[in-house]
Amino acid sequence: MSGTPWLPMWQVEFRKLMSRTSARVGLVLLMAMSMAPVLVLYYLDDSAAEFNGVPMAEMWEGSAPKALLWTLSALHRLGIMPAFIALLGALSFAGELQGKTLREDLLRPVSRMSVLLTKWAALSAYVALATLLSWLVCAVFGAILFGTEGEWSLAIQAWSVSVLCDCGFAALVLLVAVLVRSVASTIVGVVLFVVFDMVLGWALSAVSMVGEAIEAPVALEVAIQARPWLPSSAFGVWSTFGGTDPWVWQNFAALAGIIFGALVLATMRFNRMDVP
Amino acid sequence: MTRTYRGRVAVRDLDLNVHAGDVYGFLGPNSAGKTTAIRCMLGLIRPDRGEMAIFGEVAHPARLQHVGAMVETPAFHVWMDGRENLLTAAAYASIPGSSVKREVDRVLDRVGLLERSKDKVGGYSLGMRQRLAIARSLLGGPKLLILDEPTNGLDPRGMREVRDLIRSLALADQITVLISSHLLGEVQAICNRVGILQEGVLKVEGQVSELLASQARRQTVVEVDAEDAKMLEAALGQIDGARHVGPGAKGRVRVELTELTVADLNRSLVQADISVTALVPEQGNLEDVFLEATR
Repeated sequence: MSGTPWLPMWQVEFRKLMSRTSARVGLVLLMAMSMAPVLVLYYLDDSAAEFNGVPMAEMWEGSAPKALLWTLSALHRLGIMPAFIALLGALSFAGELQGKTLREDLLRPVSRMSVLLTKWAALSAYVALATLLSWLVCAVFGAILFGTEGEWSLAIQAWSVSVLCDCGFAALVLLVAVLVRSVASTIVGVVLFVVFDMVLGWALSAVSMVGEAIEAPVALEVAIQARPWLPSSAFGVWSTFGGTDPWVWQNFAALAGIIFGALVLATMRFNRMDVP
Repeated sequence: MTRTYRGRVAVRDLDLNVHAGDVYGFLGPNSAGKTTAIRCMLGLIRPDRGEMAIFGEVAHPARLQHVGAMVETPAFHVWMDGRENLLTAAAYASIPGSSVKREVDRVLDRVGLLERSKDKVGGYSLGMRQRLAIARSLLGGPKLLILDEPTNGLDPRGMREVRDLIRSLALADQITVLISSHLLGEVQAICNRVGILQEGVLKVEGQVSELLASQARRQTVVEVDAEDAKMLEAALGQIDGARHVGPGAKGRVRVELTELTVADLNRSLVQADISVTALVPEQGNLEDVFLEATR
């Protein structure tokens, strides 16, 4: 609606998010965790240990940008960043619905869509802040240990794209929260979604392997075509920067589709919801 | 406006008329549909049929432009202090950034919480939370205040504080107030109009004074006192059209008049040689109106 105080609403949502202990703990933990992969890489770079007869020091090039890519991978593949996004997303919608503070906001002349979008925008801002702080910690620590040489542009691109991916994941979390309306169910729902998506990915891999083995080009083609559209591929597109497979446009299209689709579906459901 | 829950009608064809300047008491027994009706007005739930206009505005959320509201037990971010909670609410109330702090101070002062505004809400008493909720509903200077059970769970002192505050908001700040309650004495003390809801249907609506007068016309009760109470009770047994219905205030006797006027009763008592020292007609009360409407 016209006259919606978007900026003040976003500011208070962000302030509210940052006032939560879990959000602060998340920031500290993410920054602390950002140092661990740097130390591991530093150890391996200097190590005399061998793997399959190959000295480990030769397997990885120790540099600050490499450490940044390792850290990004660790924060996401170990589920640390997604876990905090899921928790904070669940708290900011389902938690407020259960605690009835969301009801108090809806007693004002603002649309439900604006309430939902400002919550997503605040969560996205948190993601951006957490990513920036983790990047800074890792970059500074990496530069101290390895110097400033290396492919920085790739690391910067990967971290920037990861913000976009995490904003998409935040939109998905909010959709689940609107659908299930409780903090615990939101977290369980998101975990189930991720598992289902993973299983779907494995199934597609299996189809492509079988298709290749029995020489069924159609099955192989379907599996190859479908893979980049999966949410896991969209949320993990950051990994293609500096990885072996290059990114494809379908990854970003899927990400945009997830963000748009999740927010539209969440708004539609929220608009029809009775608020206790 | 009509709203059903799983086939059960919670509110049926409700048509409330709250005039500017009213302190309107929205009454009804438990589960009568008061809270459902208020939630519909505020857009928290959708009616199945019908619509409502506030200051002529039908569309939600535009109709909440000049409305402040408190629904049942108010909720707060308990880890924040009172001021932070109001600053959060002010952002949603479209209050310009330059005047937010002044507005928050104004409403905190209005409810007497300015001194405690830096305390965490988690440490507030129930009464303080109710007052903070009223302060929140006053942000932006609403023309209509909708309060659902504002004294729920309060001790007598807290009830009086909230009641005095509501009265003062209506009189001093010229705010129209719709207050839902099942505390009839409280409503009679502060409201000028009431609507009584039962099983989702509005049974009675009107001026409190008119409803009480109408009630009094149908049933007259007087409290009588005399120098000799025993003689008084004996005499009352002999007078047709007067019935002794129990003790009244200050040692008086309550008498229901079915066919006599108060003057007739006085005359009969004097003729029976009773020295009457007090003859006080009872005012009608909202409880009787309520019980009759919801019978």
